Amino acid sequence: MASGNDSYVLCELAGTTYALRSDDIEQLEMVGRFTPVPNAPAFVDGVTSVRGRVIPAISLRARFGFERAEYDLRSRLVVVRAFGRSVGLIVDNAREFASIPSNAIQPPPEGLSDVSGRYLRGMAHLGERLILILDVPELLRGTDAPNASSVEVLSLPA
Amino acid sequence: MIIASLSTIGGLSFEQAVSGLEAIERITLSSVDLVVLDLNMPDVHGLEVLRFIRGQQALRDLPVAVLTTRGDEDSRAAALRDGATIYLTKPFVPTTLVSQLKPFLQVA
Amino acid sequence: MTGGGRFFDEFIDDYFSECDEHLETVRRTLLALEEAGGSAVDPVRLHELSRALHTLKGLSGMVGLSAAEEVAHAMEDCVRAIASTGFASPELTESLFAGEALLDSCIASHRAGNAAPSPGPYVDRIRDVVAMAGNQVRTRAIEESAGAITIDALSIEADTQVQRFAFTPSAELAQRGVGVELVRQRLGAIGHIVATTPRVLATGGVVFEFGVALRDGMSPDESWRGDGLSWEWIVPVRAEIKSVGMVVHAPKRGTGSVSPTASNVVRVDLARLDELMRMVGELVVTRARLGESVTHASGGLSSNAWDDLNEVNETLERQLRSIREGVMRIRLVPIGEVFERMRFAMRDIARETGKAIHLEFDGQSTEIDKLVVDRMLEPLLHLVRNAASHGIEPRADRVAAGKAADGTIALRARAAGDRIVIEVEDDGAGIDGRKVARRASELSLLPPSDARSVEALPPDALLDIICAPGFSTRDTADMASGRGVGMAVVRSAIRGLGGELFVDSVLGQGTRFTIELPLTLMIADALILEIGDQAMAIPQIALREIVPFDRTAVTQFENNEVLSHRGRVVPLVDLSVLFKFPSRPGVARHVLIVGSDHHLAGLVVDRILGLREIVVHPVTDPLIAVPGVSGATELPDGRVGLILDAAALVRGTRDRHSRAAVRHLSSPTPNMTPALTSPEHVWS
Repeated sequence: MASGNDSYVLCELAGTTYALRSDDIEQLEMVGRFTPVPNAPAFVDGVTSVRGRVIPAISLRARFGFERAEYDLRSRLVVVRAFGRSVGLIVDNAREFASIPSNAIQPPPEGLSDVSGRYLRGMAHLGERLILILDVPELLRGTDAPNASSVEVLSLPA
Repeated sequence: MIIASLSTIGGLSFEQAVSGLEAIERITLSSVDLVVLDLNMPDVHGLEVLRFIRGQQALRDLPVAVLTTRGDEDSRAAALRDGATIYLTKPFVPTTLVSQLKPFLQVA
Repeated sequence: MTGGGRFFDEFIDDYFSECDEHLETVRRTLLALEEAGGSAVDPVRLHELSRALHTLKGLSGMVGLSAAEEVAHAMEDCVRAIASTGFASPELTESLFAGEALLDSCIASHRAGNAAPSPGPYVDRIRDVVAMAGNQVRTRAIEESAGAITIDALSIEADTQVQRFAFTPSAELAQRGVGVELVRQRLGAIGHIVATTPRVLATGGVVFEFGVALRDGMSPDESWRGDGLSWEWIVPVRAEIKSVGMVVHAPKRGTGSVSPTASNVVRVDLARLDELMRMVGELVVTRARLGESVTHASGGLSSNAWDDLNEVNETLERQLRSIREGVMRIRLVPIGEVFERMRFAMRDIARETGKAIHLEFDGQSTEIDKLVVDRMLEPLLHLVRNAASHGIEPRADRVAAGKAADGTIALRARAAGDRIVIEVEDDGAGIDGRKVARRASELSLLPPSDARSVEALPPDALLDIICAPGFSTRDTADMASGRGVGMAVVRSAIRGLGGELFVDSVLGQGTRFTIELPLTLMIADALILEIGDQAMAIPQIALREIVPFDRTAVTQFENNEVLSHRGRVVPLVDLSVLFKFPSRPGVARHVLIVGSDHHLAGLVVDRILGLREIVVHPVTDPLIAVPGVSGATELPDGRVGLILDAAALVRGTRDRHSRAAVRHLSSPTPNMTPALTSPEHVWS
């Protein structure tokens, strides 16, 4: 729940700055190698090992329908946690911390056509910059396995 | 113990122990047909090993040939008293060793 | 030297070639001993040397070459001096080298028919050297007192406790090269053997009891318990050094180093545990054969009888699995074992770096899987070395900074929820983030611009840089801590166990490395294979057989590929197609036969990379819970490898079968695995 002043990590993604609440973030990692997972959704780059656990790594660019870009030393894996799940979100970079008062958050812009629109809590202005505030739990909830059909087949009685 | 590390001499196969303790170890772990025991050993005196061997019911009849130095009558007497089967004096020629031991070995 | 006929001539040739062999062993072991350094005497090497010398002595005696016999005997005395003091002084080592040369020339001259050199002077010299060796250790200790961390106390005072050890020899140990002599060497290296008694057991076996006055700070290696040695811990007292006035810095002995004596604890030999595990493995194989027989018996039994038999078979399979997991749980040992090894290492490190360092332990009784303990030894050693060589500053700097003159490295372990936490902390200089960042951009690990914003470098990024292969803030290889590959290996070793490494550092105050490891490890033997260019694993227990993939043996059966194998029809699943990892052209492929006796499947994969024990990480997130994958593991090269879910893959073929069965009118016999629809329909 938003308190007076929340701490956020600012991430850049295809030229747009998104803010993720620090409380939702477990870790910030450099982008390493991912092991592709067969038949996983297209935006799942694969799995990687973080803190001794194997977690999925999602390209947020792909998830939000942006064009993919090559990973470089600035790219970051933002490991977020919600509903007992740890998931890694790959962003272009994540270098800034910001404190955004809750009263500075306005409702998200209307008519956002891309996928990200579904997962925004709101937006805020940091000086001249427009920051979109991401709802991490909602993002995780909405990013489930669309493989339900295959699972059904497997559980047919012999 | 001076036992040739050659695997066989004249049809006999030899195992070597570098000390009295090791000799005891080997005798206990594997069944040997005969022991050639050097009296002058670094850790435990050969006679102690001999006594240890003879002190065990199962090894009462194990043939033990004791090696003594030429001229060392006392050791020879003590060895025979403690239950040595035969004694041999050093230095010796291997052929002699083998021919002297053979009578004590069961024909394999 | 007169010959005694042809037999003797042959014997003489054998003698010379035997001598050559043993001389070679003497040379090899001497070099190894010299290389290891005076105090790092390897008891196994020493034992090898001693045996070779003894054999040479015996052989020479038999052919009457008394010169060589005497030299070998004198060398044996040297070796004994080294064994009992645990230290190869330069004089002893040099004497051995000189002895080897003399021995060589004695034998060579005999070969050439010349008179052998006189051993007299050498033998006399050895007598003096060996006598000196007893006092040598004390002398060396005096030289070390300035800046030393531990000092060997050799005087045996009346009130020194004598630790009793018992060694039980066995055929199996003997086969591994572990005998009473080796035990004697080992014990001699950690103390003074005051008594040796062989005792006959009622069973007819023998046990060797040793009384050893342990040297201060020395303790037996826990691994010796697996080599037939047993002892009940008496916490040793510090022997006083009365003859020289100096301070003894003995590391504190934590209470955790004493094995728990609570009555509900049973101490188990690791060798017995491994044996137990092996027996369980055999049981698994036997059960598989039983399963095979049960299947073949189906023709001669009534349906009910066969069902019963089958059920028992499957129950057996389940129960065996439980036993296997139960045995694995027994493998927990206290981490104090590993900590104690650090103590040994610290002596060398302190000598190399010339620093005075205290080693502190906490939580030694924290229990951890034996596998983890073994694999954590090297990483922890590396961290401790790093702390000693890079972390702790030279004495002068410390004093100038107002710190205690001696540095401290603390090793701590505790259980925290579902993890084990191990810390390596030093009170040294801390990691200089700026220096690291500068070096990183020099090595192109960081873009130059980031070097400026180094203040904001979070600990994770700092650690990533330090752990990057090839990173080192030293320009030249530092002997004490390695060549810049160390930290990368440390982290991957930790991750390979399912754990993670963290760092916390304050400039000027110190550095703390924290290792988190999962408490319960699921370890399985697995076959590592390749599909396309992805490495994957399949638990060995699921694998029945591997056969090369022979295209010509595959037949089409109602739109599916099946393989005739051992009189059965086995449906094939091409994993390269299923997982969409295209095979490299021309690669040799294999079929993994999996499943139970009644439902088999053949998984077609590419290269087989080998067997290894893996740590299984369950894969729970719905995003990656795809059919056919049951978990993941960290492969040696740091990549994550997915673990195949053989049961699910087999079930997939069975499900297709049941659908197909509905379509067909005839029902299949138990021995025939019928047609299946193609994979695509099921999985996409």
